[in-house]
Amino acid sequence: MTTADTARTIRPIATAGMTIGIGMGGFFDGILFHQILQIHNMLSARVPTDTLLGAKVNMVWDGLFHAVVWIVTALGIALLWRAMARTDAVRSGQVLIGAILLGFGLFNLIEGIVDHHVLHVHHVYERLGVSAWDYLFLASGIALIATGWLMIRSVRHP
Amino acid sequence: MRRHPSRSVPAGRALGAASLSFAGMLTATPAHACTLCHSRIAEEVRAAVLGAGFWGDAATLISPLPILAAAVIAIRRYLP
Repeated sequence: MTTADTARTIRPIATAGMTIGIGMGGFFDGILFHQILQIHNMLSARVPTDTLLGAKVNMVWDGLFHAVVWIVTALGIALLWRAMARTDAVRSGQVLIGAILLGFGLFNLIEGIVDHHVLHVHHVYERLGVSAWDYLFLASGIALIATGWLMIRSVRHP
Repeated sequence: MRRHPSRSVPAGRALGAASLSFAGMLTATPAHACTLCHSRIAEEVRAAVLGAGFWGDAATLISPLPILAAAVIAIRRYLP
């Protein structure tokens, strides 16, 4: 009897994929928006970035944010390693990619609601405050969640 | 006869050079660009980051995490 014969659940690989997706979503946000484009930083709505002190304080908090998403990504890799060792776990690239997209979308949706709209620690385009860009960020989260969910659910299970 | 280009260095001399480099590293002036070490701006950054608002800001930083974890657990329940 092979592993494929006994594989019954997609939960382990989907959980790992979602966790990796949350981490990668955080890295995408931090690297693209905080560092390359610099349109917002972690605490840019509370600590303006137009002085050297403000920019460096935000830089420290951006670093701590990256440390947190690094830990989340490492946890996802560990979960993926454990999933690969289970004989009852379905090994599907489509499930893994779908789960990563789902996790990416969860990050955009939940981080967007909490940080941009509830706590107001930063906004996508800080100069505008809450703007259409923040709603576009939430919409991208919903679209990624839907895409990932459809990819996962379309896989045929044994 | 061709001589081999590489020459062996006596172990004592290599150890001495390594010790000198290490001692130089220890006595080097700290970089003033270091955010949390020295210089006036570094002291101000340290005061701003590690001041009274530190724990509040740290809680803000990780506040999405419990909700994200709950979402992953909830979605996992609906998967076969």
